[in-house]
Amino acid sequence: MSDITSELHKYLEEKNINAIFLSIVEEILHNKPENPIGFMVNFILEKYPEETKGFGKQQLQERTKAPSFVSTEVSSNDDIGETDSECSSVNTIESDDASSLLCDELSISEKSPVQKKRRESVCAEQLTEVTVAESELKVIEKSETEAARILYILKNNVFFNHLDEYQMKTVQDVMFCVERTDGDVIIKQGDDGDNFYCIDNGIVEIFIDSPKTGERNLVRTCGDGDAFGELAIMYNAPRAASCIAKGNVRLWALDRVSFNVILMKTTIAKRKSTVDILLNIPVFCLLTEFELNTIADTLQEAIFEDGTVICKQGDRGDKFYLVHQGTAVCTKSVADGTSVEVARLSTGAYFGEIALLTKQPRQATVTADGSLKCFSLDRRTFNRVMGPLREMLMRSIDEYAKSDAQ
Amino acid sequence: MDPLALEYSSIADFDVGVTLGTGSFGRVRFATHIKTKEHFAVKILRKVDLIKFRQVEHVKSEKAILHALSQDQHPFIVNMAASFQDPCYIYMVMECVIGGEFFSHLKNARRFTNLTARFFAAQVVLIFEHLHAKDIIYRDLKPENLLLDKDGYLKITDFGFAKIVSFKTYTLCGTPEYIAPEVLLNKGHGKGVDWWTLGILIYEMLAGDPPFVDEDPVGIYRKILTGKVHFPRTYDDYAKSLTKKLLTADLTKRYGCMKRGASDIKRCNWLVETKWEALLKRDLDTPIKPELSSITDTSNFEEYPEEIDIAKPPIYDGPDPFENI
Repeated sequence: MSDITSELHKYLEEKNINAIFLSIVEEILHNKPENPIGFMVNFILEKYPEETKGFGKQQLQERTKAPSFVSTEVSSNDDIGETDSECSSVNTIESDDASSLLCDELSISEKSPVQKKRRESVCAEQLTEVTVAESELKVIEKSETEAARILYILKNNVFFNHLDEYQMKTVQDVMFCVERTDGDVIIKQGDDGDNFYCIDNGIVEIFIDSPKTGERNLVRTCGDGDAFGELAIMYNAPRAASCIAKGNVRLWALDRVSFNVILMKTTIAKRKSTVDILLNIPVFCLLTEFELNTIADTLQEAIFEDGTVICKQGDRGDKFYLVHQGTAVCTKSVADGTSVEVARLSTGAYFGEIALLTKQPRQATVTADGSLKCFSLDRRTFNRVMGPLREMLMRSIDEYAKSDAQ
Repeated sequence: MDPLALEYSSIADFDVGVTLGTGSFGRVRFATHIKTKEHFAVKILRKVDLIKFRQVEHVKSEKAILHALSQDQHPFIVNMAASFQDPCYIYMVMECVIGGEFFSHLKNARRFTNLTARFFAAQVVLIFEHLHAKDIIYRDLKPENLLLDKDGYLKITDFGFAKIVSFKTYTLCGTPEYIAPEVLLNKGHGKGVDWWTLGILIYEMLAGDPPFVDEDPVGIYRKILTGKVHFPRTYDDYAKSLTKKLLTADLTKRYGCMKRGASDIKRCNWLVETKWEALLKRDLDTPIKPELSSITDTSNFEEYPEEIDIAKPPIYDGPDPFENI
């Protein structure tokens, strides 16, 4: 290596030039700014405040006429705080007017009309509760390992991983086997989409035909465990690509109607059975149907292993539980320090509902006996969504009294 | 019978003018009622296409909802004056909103200033509050479905996906970039979807593009379900706080969906200074004033080729599903 090259290398390494350029390129690609030069200037000023001190940020920004676009990332799924402290997290920032002024200036200086297209609406076929209740689902027998492979694929797919255990199993049950040989077209670009596929084994190549040139381009090669055609489980849209078997392929397919029927059926059944239980609980029985449905949909699944203590006598409770599957044991400690079993709770039983009403200590200790599945709801969530239960009860009692008086 | 209703009973009562907008099933045209010289926008839908694309139920529901809503004459809703049909078309005679499509105004501006975005967001809050009080969910908010009136106030149009729902409904519908996660997950959705779409609209007004974009819808849906939102630096902090609270997948935390309903949104830092009553009375200064030479000046609308459906569409040869609407 010549002296000059090694000197350059040394310099690049010492000053960390590669990393700096990489971060600039990354940020540019991420934001795709209209004005890349101005964007880079702002990016450097913001990322390296120490190094760029005295470069006159304001003047530079005005001269380059570009907004600073260093993105800040948030996840909308994050817990973003309780409503009670609404917006308090942003109270520390400069006043609304001051910040809006800055933004107004920046966006005005940056007008550059781009070609935006009108976006079309999409819509699935309508399923009524009646058709759903009447439709029969065809269960396809599978070996244990086949079923496990399907479940694994579904659990790792963002369109399915939200399903609960029962829904997952039901979806797996109705998936049917499709076998294809080399060159077979599984999906043809432009056709109606009915099925979603996952590959049990084999290779599938995905091609897109350019509408202009008619040229066919390979865009992706899928193998065991990969999935394609997800859009078809949501609504009917023309297929965006063609999928062709390379060698022998074994696939599992799921059709949109079955998928939607399963989800709607299980969701409605689960809500109904939960509401039926809630109706038998004194603190809930006077609430309206809408309120009960809302509570049912707000309940969270909670799974406990054998021996887990769910709540402890004397502790301040803040959660209400419904037993969904399994058994829980209630014990109370007696004078001599030992504890005695006072009840066993199974499917449909409930405990801790008083916690939604007051901060009273728990009356007993509840422990999972074997694996236990519950639905639970904490007081904060309850208050946020429904308002205080105490007020709801007062209202119900008032209404009850009124109707009784008439 | 209302004597006026009689006179609005056929397209022959109108002088039909230029196209103001087009859709998958027909178009909207400027029209003047011959007798009264009143101006309207007539939505003309082709029956064959509605049947082919299974939109019959949606159109029936749209008509029923517009009919019910028009009794209130809400200032931010495009009200319907009459509707009728012939063997080929369904006609809905709508009030004429002359300031142009909100979509075009946003496109030309690239993005709105914080104050402008806030002004429009506040009107959408009032619209949804009104609809939800009547158990109507709208389900298709986007710049394409908003118009500006002569003074620069918003009017929402296209109630094709609107539905009367007391608790939850199940059919996936909307516009890919605007669909809420619970709609994609197919587990039933309610009024909360409208508040999600408001979050997307605020983002699109301030950033110029919606938060979840991709070349194909599956890519958009993946991003929606993953839920990561990147905010440009220029995005106002209070606006960002509200946007995050609207784009919250957890329905027990999304603003608009909790006990206090829309008032959580109306009282957030970004919107708290809004003069809600004055806004509803259209008593405020508007940030965008459409340039109009007269009340019949349609220059704020884009130009559409007119010749396309001069040929009458074929009459559907089966029984007319619209017979009794």
